[in-house]
Amino acid sequence: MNNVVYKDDEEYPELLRQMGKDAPKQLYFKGNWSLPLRARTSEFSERFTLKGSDASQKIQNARSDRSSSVLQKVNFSESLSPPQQAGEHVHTYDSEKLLSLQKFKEPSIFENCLAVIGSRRLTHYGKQAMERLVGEIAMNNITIVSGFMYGGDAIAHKTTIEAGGRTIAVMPCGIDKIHPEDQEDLYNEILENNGLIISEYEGDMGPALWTYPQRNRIVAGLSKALLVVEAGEKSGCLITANCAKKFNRKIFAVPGPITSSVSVGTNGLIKEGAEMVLSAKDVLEYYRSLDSYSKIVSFDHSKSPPCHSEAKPKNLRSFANAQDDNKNAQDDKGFEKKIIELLEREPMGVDEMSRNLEMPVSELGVKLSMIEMKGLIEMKGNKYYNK
Amino acid sequence: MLTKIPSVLYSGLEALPVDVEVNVAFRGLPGFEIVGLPSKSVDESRERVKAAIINSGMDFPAKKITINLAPADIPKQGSFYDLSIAVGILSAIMDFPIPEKSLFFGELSFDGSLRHTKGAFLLALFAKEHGFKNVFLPKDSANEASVFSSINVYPVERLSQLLAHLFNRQKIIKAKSRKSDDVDLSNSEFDMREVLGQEQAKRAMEITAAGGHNVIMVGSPGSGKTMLARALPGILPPLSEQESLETTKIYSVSGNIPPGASIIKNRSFRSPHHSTSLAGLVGGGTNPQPGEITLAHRGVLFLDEFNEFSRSILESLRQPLEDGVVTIARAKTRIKYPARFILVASANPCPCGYLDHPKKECVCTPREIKRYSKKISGPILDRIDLHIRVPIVDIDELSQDKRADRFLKSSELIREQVCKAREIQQKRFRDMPIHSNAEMRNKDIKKYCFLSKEVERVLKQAAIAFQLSARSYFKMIKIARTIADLEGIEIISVAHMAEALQYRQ
Repeated sequence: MNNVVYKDDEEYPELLRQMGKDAPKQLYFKGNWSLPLRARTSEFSERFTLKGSDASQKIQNARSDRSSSVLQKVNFSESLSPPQQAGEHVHTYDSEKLLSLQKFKEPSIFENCLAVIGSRRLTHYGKQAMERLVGEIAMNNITIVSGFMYGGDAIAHKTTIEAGGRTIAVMPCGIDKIHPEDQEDLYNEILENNGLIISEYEGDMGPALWTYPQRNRIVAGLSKALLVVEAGEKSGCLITANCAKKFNRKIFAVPGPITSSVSVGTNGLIKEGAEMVLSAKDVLEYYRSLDSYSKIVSFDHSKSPPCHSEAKPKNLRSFANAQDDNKNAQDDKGFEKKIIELLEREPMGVDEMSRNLEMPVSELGVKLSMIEMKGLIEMKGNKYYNK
Repeated sequence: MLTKIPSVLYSGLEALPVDVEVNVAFRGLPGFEIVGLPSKSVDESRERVKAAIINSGMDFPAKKITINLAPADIPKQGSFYDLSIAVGILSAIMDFPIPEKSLFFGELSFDGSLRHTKGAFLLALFAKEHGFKNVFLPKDSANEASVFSSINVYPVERLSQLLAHLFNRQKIIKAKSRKSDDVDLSNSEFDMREVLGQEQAKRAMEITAAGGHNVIMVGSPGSGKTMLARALPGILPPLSEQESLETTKIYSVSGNIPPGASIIKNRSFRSPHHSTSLAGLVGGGTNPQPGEITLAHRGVLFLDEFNEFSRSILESLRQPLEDGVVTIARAKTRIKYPARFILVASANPCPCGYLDHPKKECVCTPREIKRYSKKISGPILDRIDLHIRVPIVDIDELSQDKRADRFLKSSELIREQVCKAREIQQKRFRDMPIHSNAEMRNKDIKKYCFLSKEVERVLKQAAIAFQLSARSYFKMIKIARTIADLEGIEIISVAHMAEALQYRQ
């Protein structure tokens, strides 16, 4: 189900309006309304019942030719969804109700947005950094906005969903198109988890070279701040960062190794004055200082949710206990620690590790398999990483 | 005047008896005809024989000459009938007896000399099996045939020399029979010692060699995949006499034995280019010829750029990988060629090749990478036991790193261990039609790979943790079996299994 809001509409995100002439004239959006709302249903209905204003009239006119087909679509999807869910929101299918349904069901999704972007060629380090930071941030009721591209964007969306947060994907193509196509699963997950898909463009228009930077300006515009995790020189991420600067958004950047080509951009941003992010706290403190944040979330520091990586229990770790009745448990433990320490410093391939530990690969392989089975380390590409 | 000379006909790797019947008629217009379904190469024999006889200083009879190659309903191939035909004609007009139990074989040159001709080994084998005593063949092909002590091999240089022998004027000296045990093992291009770094890949090669497993290496260009593959034949056990004869047969028929060379004693290493046609790889043609997989029989088939091979070609490898033979069926013939080889495949991790490269950037999108890896079908990957990643090696750094030398093993040392492991397997499978761990079917795995409770538990855990498929599950057991064999241990331990897990897909 999709709909559109125009710049003059009441529902148009305030932050976008502040962009002035850069603000998109209209926003198409998709959300899954059949899901139960988590909170503030009443507030939502209060704020978003149509009052016959000029704006709504305009929408109605614009949409009248399509409303019948939309209505049919709704009927269809509602009939597919469980009756109790459908009954919760939709009682009758008159067009007025329908239009109200098509509005953002939860305007608060726009209130505390953080744009999180990363390189398409995100390294393992970037992925780890993103999971660590974004998971915790998203848990604190901050909406993560990103561009739905593979690599950094996709991981930002994914991490948010895993952490139970809400996310907005801004598409560089028409609202009806999924781009990149192979991320259809993620697309559906965003919708199923109270997220939004947004685009400036109608229909199934394909992405073009120029639509990416246009999309980036919306990503920056929707958010109060921008977090950059890995960006190459002259990358799309830096275009977003430039937009953010233009709209006076706060910019956070995750530092990276100076040898990495995908850290040139982020390190450059830090040099230019972006705030360096070492932990999620750095970003959260900024949001806590904002009025809009304290209004929505009564943030209690002592009850802060645990870090994302620990919040997701690795059930594989239970294997660790199963193995311990071994006689050589003590030795293994010591070796395990040694390997983990080695990998904490730097991810390494088996061959390199074998040279470092002066141990033949046949022996080392045995240990690595066991430790990997416990879920303490993982193999990605041709290197072992600490989990 | 009629003469009859025995000869052969090759069908696949088999030799069938043929009679070359030469009739020199004293009536009728002069002419020279060959009947009995000769192919172009057999038919053209007329011109070669005529020129060779004339250039050997004799007169070619101006008579009606007819050659029949019996049985007349099977097509005849090859240029080796030249000598039989020439001897037959000369015998008819010069009236000398053809020695009994003798075979004449070889292609004639216009000047009367004999050229190296393919198939000499098969001829010798045929002679031995059918009770022939003497074999006359080109000097360059003599080494190939002089393997069996029960037959006399006469290396012939020129047609006139053969005539002198047949007229008892000057005898040709018999070729010395060669013993097949003087095996030269320093055959492979690289020694494992020369491969710097790549400890895990080298270990994988050791396991591959010991168990006859197939292996796939994934790594960026320049990481040493080809070098590793080329070093593999050097750590394989030497060919047994039986295997050596099998291989020589194939090479002889396909004309892959160079002039003057003897039987094949080294494991073959074949690396066809990825543009190879289906017929080139699995064998084929109107008269089905052995393909690369058959030439790699008992050796190594190295398919570089594995996913650049066309899909239909890769799929055609399924039957040979499973059964060790390939059957080529044509409208007129159906030929079976042996094809029991170790498949070593190598592939780049992505289309540009630089995924996970420490210095170069990969420019591929996730979609491209997905598509690239999907090019190899599941059934083919299922038949490959070991999967390894071959990382880029920093040569400068490694050559200074003395720690790297500690575990360097020469090919010779590895080969000794491999041989021991193979011996264990031979004992294990003495009542079975299989020879190595890699050939075990699932029911054999249950029979020969006893897993203790603890090992089974580890494997089951791994199956969950690493999401192993049922196929992978059995592959792990096979690899663990080979690792245990390498250590000479009968019972598979947790350590063996854990190491095997390193080579999972």
